[in-house]
Amino acid sequence: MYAKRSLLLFAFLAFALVVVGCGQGALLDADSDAVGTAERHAVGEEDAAVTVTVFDDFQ
Amino acid sequence: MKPVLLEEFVATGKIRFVTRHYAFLGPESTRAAEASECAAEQGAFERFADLLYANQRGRNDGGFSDVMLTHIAEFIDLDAVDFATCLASERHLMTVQQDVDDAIDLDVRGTPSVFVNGAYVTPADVSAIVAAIEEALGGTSP
Repeated sequence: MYAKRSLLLFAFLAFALVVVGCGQGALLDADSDAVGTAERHAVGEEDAAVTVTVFDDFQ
Repeated sequence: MKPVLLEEFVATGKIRFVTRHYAFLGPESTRAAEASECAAEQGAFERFADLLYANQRGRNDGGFSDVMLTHIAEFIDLDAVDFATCLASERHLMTVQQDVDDAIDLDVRGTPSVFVNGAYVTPADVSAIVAAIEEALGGTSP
């Protein structure tokens, strides 16, 4: 009985860790996407006084 | 437009030039944008983009089908297997869509749409863009 309850507790904790871990991963991905979106294909000096951004379609 | 800006302003360290997707003309626009991101994985975004522009045809008529996009990748000696795997995975679709969503938020309605330090420049021709850049630089000449 004691072993069964311990096993259930262990399983619950493992599940909770997985959920928390996935949540943190999603947040990190969202942050890196937000940064990368603006500067993904940039040429020129990072500290240039002016940034020219072009939205274009290849077709 | 871009070669002039690269030569006169990027090469002299005065501007940073950022390219973003506004793939709005249909499915082949989106696939071409995704493909350019796959090329970027192999350090070839600029070369791939130049070839896409050089091979523009009608809208969604097969000019930017997956087969054609792979041919273009092979033409510039990209790893064909890696490129095809990337394209098939659609792993850059969200990135392209994020650019499109940002463009919509910025009220972009056509291409190319140009922003100089966040300010929309119209018309998007070289003289107007150069004027906007020079104004942002404080009136200095390139």
